[in-house]
Amino acid sequence: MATEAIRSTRIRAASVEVPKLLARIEAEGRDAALPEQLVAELCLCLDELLNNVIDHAGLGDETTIELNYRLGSDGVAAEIVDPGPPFDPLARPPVDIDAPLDARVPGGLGIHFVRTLMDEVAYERRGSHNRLRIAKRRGAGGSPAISSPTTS
Amino acid sequence: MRIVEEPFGKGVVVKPIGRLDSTTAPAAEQTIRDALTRSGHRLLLDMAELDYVSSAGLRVVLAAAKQSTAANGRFIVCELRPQVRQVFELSGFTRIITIVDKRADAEL
Repeated sequence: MATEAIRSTRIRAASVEVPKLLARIEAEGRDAALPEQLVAELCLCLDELLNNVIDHAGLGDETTIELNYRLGSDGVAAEIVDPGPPFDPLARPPVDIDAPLDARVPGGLGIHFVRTLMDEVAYERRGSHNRLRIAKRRGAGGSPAISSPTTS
Repeated sequence: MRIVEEPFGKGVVVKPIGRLDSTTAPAAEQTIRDALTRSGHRLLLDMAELDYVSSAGLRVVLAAAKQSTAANGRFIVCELRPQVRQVFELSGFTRIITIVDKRADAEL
């Protein structure tokens, strides 16, 4: 039988809240004996997406963001629900990771990580909330193995 | 996060310790910018004790690389741990930033 932890939580829309939440998810992943890499990649994506909402949605830092997530031996999934104005982070043009240094501009890398590391990413505006869902199956493709040599 | 800074070669080595994320990036950016200015833009960023970096941290690295290049200086990164290396690779930073294995391999 698959082990899994399903959780629903809320955090204040303040960046200081994010590392605390991620530390808790990492601990839950360890308790459930899930592959560290899988949980670490989920946490990086949550860091990027939550901070995106915190930075761009114009929420007061007493507003809360809802996070529903599932850590399973077969994969991980999460849904971020925020009450900000409609904003689809997937609509932004992809970042050019092959551009030379002087042409590189900050921004867009967070969403690039999410698209690259997760198997599924979906945005939906429902009622007065943005909902972003991400998921990754265990052992699924999409990301280079952490120890893989640089190929370029 | 803590940042340790010491002279190295013709410049300076800066070693961030802990997590370089949205909460720690602003202070790190300021520290690195000041260190670049004081060192004639010759800076080695030693990541040996950096546990984690997000895109907010990469912004700091990109700004430092650009500042150094614009001043004809040297900017080198060393000792990337697995999570940091993965994020550098995903971002294409391994192609635009000079990366060496160890401190001893860096020449400022």
